[in-house]
Amino acid sequence: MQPKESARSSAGTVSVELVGLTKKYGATIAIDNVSLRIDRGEFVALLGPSGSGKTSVLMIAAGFSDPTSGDIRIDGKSMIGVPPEDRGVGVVFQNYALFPHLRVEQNISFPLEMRKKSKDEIAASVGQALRLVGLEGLGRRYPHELSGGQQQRVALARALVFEPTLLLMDEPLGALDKNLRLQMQQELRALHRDLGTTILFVTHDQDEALALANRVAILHEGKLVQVDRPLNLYREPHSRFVASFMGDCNFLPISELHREDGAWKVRIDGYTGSVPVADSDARSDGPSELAIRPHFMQLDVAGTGGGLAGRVIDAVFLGQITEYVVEVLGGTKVIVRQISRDNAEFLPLGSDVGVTWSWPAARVL
Amino acid sequence: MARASSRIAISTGLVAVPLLYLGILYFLPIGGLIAFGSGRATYREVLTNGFYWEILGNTFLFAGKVTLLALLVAYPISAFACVSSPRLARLVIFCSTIPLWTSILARSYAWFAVLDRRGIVNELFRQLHLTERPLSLSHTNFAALVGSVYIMVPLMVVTLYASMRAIDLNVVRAARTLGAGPVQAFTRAFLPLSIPGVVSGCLLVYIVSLGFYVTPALLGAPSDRTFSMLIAQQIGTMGDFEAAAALSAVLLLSTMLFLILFGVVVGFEQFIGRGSGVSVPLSRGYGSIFSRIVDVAGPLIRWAGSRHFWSFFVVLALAYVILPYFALVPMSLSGADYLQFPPDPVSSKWYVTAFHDPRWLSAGVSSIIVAVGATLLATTVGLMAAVGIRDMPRRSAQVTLTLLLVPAMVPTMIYSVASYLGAAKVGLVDTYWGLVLAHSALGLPFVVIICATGLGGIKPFIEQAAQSLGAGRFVRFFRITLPLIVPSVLAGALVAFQTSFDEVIVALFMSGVETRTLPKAMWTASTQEITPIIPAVAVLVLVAILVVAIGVYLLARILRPRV
Repeated sequence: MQPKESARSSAGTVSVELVGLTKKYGATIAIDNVSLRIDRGEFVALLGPSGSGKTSVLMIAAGFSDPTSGDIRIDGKSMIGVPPEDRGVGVVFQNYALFPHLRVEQNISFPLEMRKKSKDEIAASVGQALRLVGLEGLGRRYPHELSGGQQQRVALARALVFEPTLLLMDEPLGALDKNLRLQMQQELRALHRDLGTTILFVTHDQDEALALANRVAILHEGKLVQVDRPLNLYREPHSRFVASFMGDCNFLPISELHREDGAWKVRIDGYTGSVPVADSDARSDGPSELAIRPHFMQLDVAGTGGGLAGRVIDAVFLGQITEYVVEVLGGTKVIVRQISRDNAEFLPLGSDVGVTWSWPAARVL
Repeated sequence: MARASSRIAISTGLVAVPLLYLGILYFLPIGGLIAFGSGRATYREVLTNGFYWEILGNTFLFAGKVTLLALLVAYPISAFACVSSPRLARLVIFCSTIPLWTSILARSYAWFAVLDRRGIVNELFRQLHLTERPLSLSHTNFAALVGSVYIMVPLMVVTLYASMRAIDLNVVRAARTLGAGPVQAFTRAFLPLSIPGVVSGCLLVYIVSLGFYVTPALLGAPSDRTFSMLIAQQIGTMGDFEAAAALSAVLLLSTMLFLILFGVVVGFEQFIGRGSGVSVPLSRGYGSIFSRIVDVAGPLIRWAGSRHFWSFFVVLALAYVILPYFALVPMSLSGADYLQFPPDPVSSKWYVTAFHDPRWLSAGVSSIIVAVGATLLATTVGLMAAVGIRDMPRRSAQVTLTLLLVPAMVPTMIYSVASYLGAAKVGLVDTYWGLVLAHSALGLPFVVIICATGLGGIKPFIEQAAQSLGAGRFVRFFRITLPLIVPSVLAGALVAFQTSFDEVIVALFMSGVETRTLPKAMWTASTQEITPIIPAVAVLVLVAILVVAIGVYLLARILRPRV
């Protein structure tokens, strides 16, 4: 577990490759033709709601189940038929799966013993691993004598100590409380920077995926719907699902749309504007919805700035921001988030307002 | 798919050994027995004999009475444990299940010591001048019932408690917030939800009670025979094996009907903590019937449900379960040649006799040899079965488990006759091997149940974690799985040991002069004149099992995983 400069320098070569991965259980399709390339040293989050098939992908990558069709390659070699113990893939399980009858140091030395390392080598590696995760001096403890966060670190040390080519993590922070989770996220980021291990991280928590990963792969009903850097996913969602899954989003039906000078000319009711066309968007017709994040919208109380006429039906003070629910277009509800201002009064429910937004931040879907 | 199928192949291989083992040692002799009974026109004779039918009816009736009374005693104990603090619950359940770990023969003798003409009850009554002449308490239907219920209470408590513990007590609290009084909340919320446990407990106890032999034979009146006693009689006094075989087949068939009912209604998976137990609809249906009864009998139940009455009842029930043990001690310390209470003079001479009389001594040695051998075999084979079952597809696991549990459910008398006939064919009668093999078959189901439960308790993904860290199948089993279930394996071994050490019925025919075991020696002695040697040996047997149990417990403590 030496910090690897070499890892960074060889970044860009493909480490793990899922090729047309499909998994069926009887008539149910758990994973549907998923293809994904993960470069060496990359930290990829596999994000999806429960039942989206992300754990199935992980189980196939770890070798606990075989795909119905498709292939998984690690360093170019197909892993089909290779049992988990021969894959050299580290796994951090959801509830850590520490061996309750073994001490912390025995847990961590386990994979090294399996690889028949010498005693001295094992002692050195275990000591280093314990230091790496900040558990020096706790090697003699049993897992149940540790806190949740400490158990999490042992699981991490155990999965990393044999320098796996790929580290799989299955919602590893799910069992921790919020503060500890944020702290562990930070430590994971640091660890990944130092070691350069290739990581595939499964989670249903968007914030976690955004905070940790170089790239996020979004899985929906067994299909990979979009893979991109976190910022791009947020700014350029390709579908309504991605737009609403990565943060909140309002959707408005478009009355009139045409493409002009590399931009969409959009009219919604009487409100018009121009929206940039996404790089990946080759469509010329068909899309019919405008997606705008709540914080890109404003309320125009005076009613002079144009926009859509609406009525406030709910208002929530959330501290730093105030959230309004406004009904527009005779029934569509939109959420508008505004920074709470000093002395600003709540708009009373039922107020007539105009809803406007910054057109360049909106997307046509 | 390759991985899954290889796992299934290995689990099938693992399960094949125990199935083959039981097949040869258990099912084959039983099949032989059924065939043997058809040698002459025996089946017709048996089936047309009204006398046999009457005894079969008696057996059903007796089992029914035992089941209902055991439920009456066990339900309050289990319910009390459910609503008590974890500590008190542990204590109550521990106390009421100790008898599970001790000798059925010794337990039956204990009641004998209580109820005999010169037993504790009669002597107390005499000294208090309550009665002129001793009451005939032993050798009555009453004694057989009291003793048999006593034997069955622990099993009922275990089954009820396992199911009741799953009841969310917030349901009862919710009922209270919705306006139900404590008694109503109990009868409307707790009681209906406990019905599945009641059904499975009653079925289980009923099935086991159908095979009663030792207790009613020792305590009951000569007139109220059970079917198992009838079978023994055919051999013991008439030497008619064909008739015994035919009668065994009849008892087997009757038991199978209830076994099938149990399999359909409850399912055998519940023994290993899988399966869902009885379905909720059952609970709904019976629950509403109960609620209606409760509405009618409200005032009575309100009185019975008062806290004091309840606590009193639980204490009484626990006393019933625990106290008889202590009856054996004073009886065994008698200086006289007959049972007396209180012992006068107090003497340890019967213990001295037990240790000096070569007959008792050699019986003790035989028992230990047989029990150790049977334990080793049952534990090894049972552990294989449990590991195999776990990785099998659900359907085949169900079938396998059911087959492996049969020896614990079918009346031992049937197997006793069957194994004797089988052993006679291969020359194993009155040999250690014959007894060891037969006893290992009887202990196997318990090992399977306990080990399978232990395996089910391993947290998810522990073994997958070992695999992902590079451990192959064998390393995984010996370094991760086995250490984690050591307590279960030891507990299984202990029950297997106790099953054999305590076993009378198979030993009755199988063991002769050479291999006479302690229970057989006690049994033989009890059919002659009853001297204090029997309570003395019973106490020694209890102490021996206790010593082994404590030893195993300490070993388990040392070896148990720190979780």
